[in-house]
Amino acid sequence: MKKTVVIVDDSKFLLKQISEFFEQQLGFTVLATGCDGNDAVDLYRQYKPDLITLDISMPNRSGEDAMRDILSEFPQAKVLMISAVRGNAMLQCMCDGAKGYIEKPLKLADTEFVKDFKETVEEIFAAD
Amino acid sequence: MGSFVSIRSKLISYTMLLIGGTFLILLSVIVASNIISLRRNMEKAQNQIRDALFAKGKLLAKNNSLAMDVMAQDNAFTSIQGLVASTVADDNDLVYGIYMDRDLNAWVFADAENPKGIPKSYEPLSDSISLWARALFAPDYKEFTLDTISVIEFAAPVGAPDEILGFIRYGISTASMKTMIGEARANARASMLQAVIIITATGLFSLLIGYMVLQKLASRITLPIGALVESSRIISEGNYDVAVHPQSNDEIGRFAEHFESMRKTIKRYTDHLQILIDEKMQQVKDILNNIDQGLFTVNLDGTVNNEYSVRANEILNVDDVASCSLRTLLQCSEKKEAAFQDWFKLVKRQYRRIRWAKLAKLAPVQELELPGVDGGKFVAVSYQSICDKHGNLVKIMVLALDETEKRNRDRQMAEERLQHEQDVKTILSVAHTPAEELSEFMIDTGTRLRELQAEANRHRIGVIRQRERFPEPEKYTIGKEQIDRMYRDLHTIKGNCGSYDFEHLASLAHEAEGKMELLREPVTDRRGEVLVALMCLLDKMIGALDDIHGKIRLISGSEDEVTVRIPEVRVNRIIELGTTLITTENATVKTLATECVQLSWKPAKSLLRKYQKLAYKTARRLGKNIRVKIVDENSLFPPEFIAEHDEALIHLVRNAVAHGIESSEIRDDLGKGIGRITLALEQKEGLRSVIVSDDGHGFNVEKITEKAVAGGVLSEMEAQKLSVEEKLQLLYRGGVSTSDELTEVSGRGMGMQIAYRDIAARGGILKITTNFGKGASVSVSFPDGASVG
Repeated sequence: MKKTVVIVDDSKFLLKQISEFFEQQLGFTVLATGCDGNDAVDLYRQYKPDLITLDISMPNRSGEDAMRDILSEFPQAKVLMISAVRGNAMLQCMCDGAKGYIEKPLKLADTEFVKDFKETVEEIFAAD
Repeated sequence: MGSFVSIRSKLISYTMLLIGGTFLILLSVIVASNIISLRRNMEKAQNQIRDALFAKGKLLAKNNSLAMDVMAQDNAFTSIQGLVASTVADDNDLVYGIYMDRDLNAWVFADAENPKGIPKSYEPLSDSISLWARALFAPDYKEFTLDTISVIEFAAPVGAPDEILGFIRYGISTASMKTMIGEARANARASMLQAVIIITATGLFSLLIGYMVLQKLASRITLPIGALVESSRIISEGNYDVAVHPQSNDEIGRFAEHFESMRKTIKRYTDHLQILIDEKMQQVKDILNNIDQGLFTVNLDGTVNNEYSVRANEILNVDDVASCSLRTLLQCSEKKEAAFQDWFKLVKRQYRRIRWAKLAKLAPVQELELPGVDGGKFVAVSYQSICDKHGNLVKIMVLALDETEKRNRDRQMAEERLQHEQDVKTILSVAHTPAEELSEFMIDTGTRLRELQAEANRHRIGVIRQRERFPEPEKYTIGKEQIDRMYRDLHTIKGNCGSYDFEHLASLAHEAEGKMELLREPVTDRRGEVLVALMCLLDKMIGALDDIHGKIRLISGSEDEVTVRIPEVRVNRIIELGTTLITTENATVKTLATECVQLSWKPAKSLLRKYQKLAYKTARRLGKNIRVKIVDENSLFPPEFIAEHDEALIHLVRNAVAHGIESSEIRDDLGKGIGRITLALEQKEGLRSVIVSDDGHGFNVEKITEKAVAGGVLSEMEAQKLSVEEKLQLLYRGGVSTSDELTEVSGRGMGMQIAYRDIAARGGILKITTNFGKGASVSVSFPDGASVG
């Protein structure tokens, strides 16, 4: 049974890249993609995926807020932050319940980066 | 753990319960058996009393019957009356005494009211007892109740059985028997009660005694346990110095002995452990002190531990890391400090689930910029987890690495890389741009820059003057038009540079444009300073332009060399015309003609570059270190000059490097240093020569001769007649090589031979001069003009 993921990012290009990565490299089924914080919450409610990836800085509602909303409604939700935002914002996301994080830019040609990405996803599901 | 109940009280309570229970059972058994035996005794006594009564009654009836037999026969009525009356009177138990004949007529009827026995009436008796007695043939008895008194009548017939005269009857009251039985029962009860009281009292007394004895006993048993418990408590607090003394000879004593030996073992280990720990700590401290990294540890609440490397003090600009807070050490703001607390919480929660590298990356401080000895200091901060043997995170090691040098190096490298990139772009652009265009650009840009410099300087002076005259109202203004013009010039330079990829100059022009903007009214910055900065930039731009000029020269040759491009046909035409003029006597014309002819000539360095490279390449392969110098490298020679020497030169250069120059080790031993090879072109006395010299070991003339003789090239006699020069010529002949080893480059004794044959075939001369041990020089000459035309 393939794991499912919903991907949210305000860049169309990145959405495509991340989706392809999840489908081809990690064997996930991408249920839906969204481009802002509101989409994130709606899509989570609609699909209840195994994993949701969020960017931090997004229009309408930030990834941080979206994550908090999702977690308050679904405390078991697995959230992976994929963002170029460094430092405290990422730390706060992790403190507030994100299960893992990936730093942009997505260097998908870099084997180290890909390894880290895969391990991060594995870690998220290893707890089960 | 539940509430504490001591073994002693448990022992006492359980034993007392046991004893008490046993006693109760015993008591009830005794009481029950007593009751049973009492009842049996009672019955027995009752029967005995009853039997005695019956025996008495029966005996009385029987004896009287015998005694009365005669009396009745004799009709001794008075005797019978006297016997019965006295019998009744003598015995209190006798209620009555009756003698009646066969017709139920009472002869005697004695009772308490009638002691003499005279019957009250002479009517025959008719009661049921009398009727029962009248039917008797043998003594018998019958119980009945007479006026509420229970009476047993003993009756016996008087006279022979076949001739019964009458019946004697005695009524015995059972009252006395009952009284006796009641007394016996009361006695039995009393004795039973007494027994119960005695048993109970004894039991209680023995229970009391038992309790007291048990208490003593329990104390004796549990006292050593108490001592053991106390000892174990002390030991559990980490004090292994208190000895445990066995206080009894039972299992507890054994236990105490084992416990004591265990304590000793633990004490030995812990003492040893302390020594081990001390040693390890010393080692760790040594390592920490020698380590070149700033290193300290923090607990998970953010407090700094006492362990750190000495270098940490220096890197973090503190006197003692251990006495500083994390906040001080890592220059945290309040917000960062709070973030650190969040991070510690996250780390504590997630360290088993998330890789440490990922967690470490989230730490609020990753690098520091601290004041250093000269300028700022960059410190990279990284974090390592420290776990105990069970894998529990106990603290975090913070590593601070002074990266100032590395950063400076990186920055320098980046700058150099940028510089190189720009250089390459410039060179490429120069190479791809027609010379005329470049020349135009150079002239145009140079002119503009000089004008800009002059104008900027003029304004600067103006501004200075205005300030000197202050507070006089004369104000120096830089007009908008002037600024616009200067701006336009800079913009043009920028645009041109951009189109030629001269990025450095373009960026300087851009910066200068910015300065120009600052000069526009209303002025906010001090104009003097802006103008100085502008002039500084203009200087830099001129420098950059010179750089470009340098690149142009690099590509097109030095300034006095060819810098123009003329179609080859035209040059050839000039050369041709010059050649026809060369025989003229007119000095000027002759010079012109010579210049014309030399138009196609090239400098020695470009003609010989190929061989120079060959020499270096050969040397690299042989692991030798050489320098190749070209003599008079800028002297001009016709290009065909070298063409006829090509093959010979290849051999000569290879020979010089392979055989002439010694190996690096030998040269080092001889103190000769780097091998030197000189390439020279010469044109004199009608000969065009190429000379290849080296400062190697030279040719051993004697050895060459020996080898030639040995190889049968010539006889010893002939050899003796030869001059040094002639002897050297032996090298050209086959089979003589001075090299003792074969190398892939040369050395089959063929090199010189091939060169010689090639040269000789084309009318050339090969000449060798040598100074054994110091070097050799080989020249190849062809007559001037040999191949011209």
